Amino acid sequence: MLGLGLSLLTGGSVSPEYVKLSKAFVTRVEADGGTVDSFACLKTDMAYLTSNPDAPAGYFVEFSAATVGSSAEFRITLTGGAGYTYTYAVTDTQANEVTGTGVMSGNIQSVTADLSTLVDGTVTVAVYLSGAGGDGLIVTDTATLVGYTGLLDTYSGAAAAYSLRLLDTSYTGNAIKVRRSSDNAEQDIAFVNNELDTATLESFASGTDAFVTTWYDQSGSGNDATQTTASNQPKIVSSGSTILENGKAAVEFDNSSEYEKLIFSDSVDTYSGAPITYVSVQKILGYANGFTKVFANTPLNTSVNGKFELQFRDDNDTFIAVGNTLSIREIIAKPNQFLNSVISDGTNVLYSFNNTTTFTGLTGTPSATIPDSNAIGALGTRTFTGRIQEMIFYQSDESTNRTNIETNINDFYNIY
Amino acid sequence: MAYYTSTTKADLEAYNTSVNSGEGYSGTTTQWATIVEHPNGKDFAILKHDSYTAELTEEETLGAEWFPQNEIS
Repeated sequence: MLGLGLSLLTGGSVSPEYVKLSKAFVTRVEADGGTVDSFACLKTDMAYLTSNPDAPAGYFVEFSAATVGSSAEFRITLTGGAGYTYTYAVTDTQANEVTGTGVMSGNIQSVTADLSTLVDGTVTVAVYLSGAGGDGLIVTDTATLVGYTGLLDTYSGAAAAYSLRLLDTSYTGNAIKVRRSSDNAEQDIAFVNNELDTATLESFASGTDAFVTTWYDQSGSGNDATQTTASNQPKIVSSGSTILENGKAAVEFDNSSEYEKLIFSDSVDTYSGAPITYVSVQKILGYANGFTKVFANTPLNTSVNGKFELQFRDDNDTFIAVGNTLSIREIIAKPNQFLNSVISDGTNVLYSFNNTTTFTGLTGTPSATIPDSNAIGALGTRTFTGRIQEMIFYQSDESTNRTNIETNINDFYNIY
Repeated sequence: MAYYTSTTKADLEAYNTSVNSGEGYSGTTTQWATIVEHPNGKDFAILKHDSYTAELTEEETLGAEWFPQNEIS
């Protein structure tokens, strides 16, 4: 595609892209006597070039492809361009931008820009070159940014999926619903740039605490995890600040109440012995009576076969139960945020810790009684004390995808 | 967090109602706390709200006997 300046020089139609000139160039254009939102800037640039005949000219910029990803490449081309300084800005439709500068090393300069902070859709790269003769024209090109692929876009079919990042680009719902402590008002919080909208969250909390009443299911199955009892709701904002773990938003559970935390429907079958894949990201902050459970399906005050639970003891003993038996028990140090998976094919159980160590065991007896709920944060006297950022269930054996799923998660959370 | 205990469940329900009324929960949230029933069927407990007091027996915590579970360990 021809750049904007080149279109004028060749007498072609004026591209409407001039209205998309980056904020990064405002100073320069206005210093030249133009305004970035008007055709005047183009004429000013032309006049500037006329009066600065030694400024670089005859160059253009183009994206490497019509559709680019988060790591986007564009090329600046100018015969004899080596040594000129280039300045660029890539802008999305919401006026977010990524800027940079460098020096041309030859006739063609390839530049790779990190567009992960831009929203998907049309993006415009604007470039000008500078040399001893002054600044050259601003030239532009456009592409379509498809910068984000959610975990569930690639590994679909989850039965329930809870996260504070967007897991599926086709999901248009909110991330969580929260209750603020100041007046108990509630509000949905969405995603911005594929992550929890912490600005809106903190604005709503207004310096107080906020608690999660609903963690929305992104799988499309409608298995939202909810808690209608105030004292059982986990915290997401503390004194106005989003709770973070390793730099990312996290839902914090404590053991101040022994009852279940966020619960979701038993339509997600964690009890019958059917194949299941479970993946979660969490950090343990403490123990109750020496134990902490990140997930359990066993109802309170009943003895139900068919347990599915992850239970950790304060001496690093790790208990993974699938069915009415202890499937795996291993000593695993867990001082930091960690990623783990439990996969059962109906007979064999695999436990993966940080995608580096795996253990195997057997499933127990399927349940004859359907548990009345699935509980994130478990329940009883061993309720979870810690932070959870993501928890996904598949009603299938995803062992062939496990490594890639865990890599996707680690790429985002930078756990190990 | 402390608990109020009673052998009269209605007393704890009344406490919960008074907290709910004072806090004005709306939306997803419907109540302050869940009343815990001891397996003996005679004793009941509810989490105490820091801002609401009642003429009830206060316990610092509830023992594990309140929450019997078929633990795997």
